Formats: sequence, structure tokens, C-alpha cells
Amino acid sequence: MDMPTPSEPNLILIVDDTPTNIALISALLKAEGYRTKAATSGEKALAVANGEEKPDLILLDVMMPGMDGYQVCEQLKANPSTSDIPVIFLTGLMNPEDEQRGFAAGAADYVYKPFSPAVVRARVKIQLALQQALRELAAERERANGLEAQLVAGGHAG
Amino acid sequence: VDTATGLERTGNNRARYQRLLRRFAEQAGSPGPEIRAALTALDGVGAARIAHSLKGSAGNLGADALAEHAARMEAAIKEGAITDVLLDDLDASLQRVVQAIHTALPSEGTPEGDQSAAPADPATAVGPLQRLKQLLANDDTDVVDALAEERATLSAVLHGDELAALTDAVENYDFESGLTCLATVTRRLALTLE
Repeated sequence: MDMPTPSEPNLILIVDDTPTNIALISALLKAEGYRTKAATSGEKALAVANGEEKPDLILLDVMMPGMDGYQVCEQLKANPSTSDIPVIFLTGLMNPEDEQRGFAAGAADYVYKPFSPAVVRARVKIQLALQQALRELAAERERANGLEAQLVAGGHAG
Repeated sequence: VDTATGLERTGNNRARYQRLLRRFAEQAGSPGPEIRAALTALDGVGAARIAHSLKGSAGNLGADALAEHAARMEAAIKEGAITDVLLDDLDASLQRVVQAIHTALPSEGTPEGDQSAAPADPATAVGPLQRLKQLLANDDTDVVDALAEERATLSAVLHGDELAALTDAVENYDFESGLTCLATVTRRLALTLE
């Protein structure tokens, strides 16, 4: 996943087949300083997620014509280049079975429609912070592995 | 319409909220007959999707009563318990919301160019068109605001139907159609965009 530069706000992809929902959520997120892209179908969402600049987070509608949100999420998670992008499902379906299905597909969290602005802000912020922490952990692990390799090489040389 | 909640959902962007309400009213259609047609075609999933989509957009805009009607409709479709009363109630509820929006927010007029004035130099549209092209190519939602900002310049150069088609594509986040509109316009005006 691309690392946003310090001056570059996080990029969030909003996927919903209802343009009004995209407009509302993008306005809310832009007011928080995020950048937003949009896709109105599952197929388009996969194309954008696999594009040159990968999103830091995806807000994904569940019920869409054609490829539904579950299918999109499963494909994102099956692809190594998109598998670490957190996905928050947007849904009007409120029952445990649907929720369970979403988490099984790889969802990080849920937001219910009609959405609460405070809840969207909080869940997006939490997932991005978690993602950042994971990136830092991975970088630290890589650094430690590098040091270990140097030590081993040094030991062999000595 | 609970405008306070709806407005909050746009990050308190009043202009955007008003634009969304106007667009909702313009595109409202008649869900009752559409659901009937889908059910007649034995497309229960399609019928439920019409109700589901209306429930989501109405609820998010703050049209709570309409969202509740749509939710009841969605549930009834799934249970096979559709009645004419439910369908008529949904249409009536939608029409009340549309009327309330029309009353509170008079139309801004059509997005057509000013046909009475002499057309402006097409070169004046290069910058705005270039900006829109870049945003459309990046699937960037900023294109909606960009088009609103560039509308005055574009309306002096583009034909009314060209601007209407571009507006429709942009406001529906149909980026490919938006790029096609731009290609048509630039070809007619013999402009070159990067």
C-alpha cells in the first residue's frame, strides 16, 4: 500500500451505487481533511483499488447490483496488493447474519445507514490509526530483520 | 425533512446539502410503479433494491418518514406481502418530500449555456476542462465542486445539452461518461487537453 506523504491526507474510496450517499459521505470526509475517490459499482471499486494510488481505506456498500459488497471485499482480501486495505461496510442491513457474513469476507468494521456523522468520523479515524500502527510495526520488523542479517553476516566474517 | 441532521451529514456544507436535495427532488421518479414493474417481471431482488436505495438516500438526506416508508416496502417485498396501499403510500410520501424541497429551494434554472449571449472564446474553457479531465481520470469526488466552480465559464462555451450531459455524469460519479463528454466537447471546439 502507498504511504501518504506528511503533506498528503489519507485517501478514502467510497463505493456505493447511490450517488447521493457518495456525495454525503465524501462531503463529511472532506470536511475532516481526507481525500476521497468514488466508485458506483463493485467492478469499478476493484479497478480503483488496484490503481496507481491505492486507497488507505475503503467504505463499501453491501447491496449493489452486479457484484455485491461481500464479493468485492473477498476479492480485495484475496489480492496481495489490496489485502491490507481496511474495508468498512456501509449497510442498511441490520442483522447478525449479515454482519457475520461481512466480517467473514474480511470487513474491518460496519457503518449503518442512515449514518451518524460522528460514528463515520470515529470509525474511519480508528481504522486509519490502526493501519498506520501496523505499517510502523512492519517497518520496525523489517529494520530489525536487516540488523539481524548484518549481525549474522558480521559473525560469519569474524 | 430533518435538515439539521442532513446538513450535519455533509459536514455542514450548506451549498452541497441544498444541491443534493434539489437533485434528489429532480430524480425522484415514481418508485411505486417501478417496484410494481419489477415484481411483474418476477425481479424481486430488483424491486427490493429500489426500495433499499430509496431508504438509504432518503434517510441520509434527513427525509426520515420517507425512509421509514421505504424500509417497510423493502421488508414487505422480501416477505411477499406487497399491497397497493403500501405502494401508493410510498409514492405519496416521496411526493410530499419532493414538494417540500421544491417549496424550500426554488429551482436554480437549467444548467444550459446562455444562448442569447455571443459564445465566448473556446480557449477560455481549456483550463476548466483540463481541471475536470484530471479529476475525472482520477475518480476524484472533487470533480463535483470543480464543475460547480467552473460552470459560469463553461456555460459560455458549451452547448446546453453538452453541459447538461457533463453535469449528469459528474453528479452521478460516472467518471467514464464524464470523460466521454469532455472528449466530445473538445473535439467540437478543436481544443487540445493534456
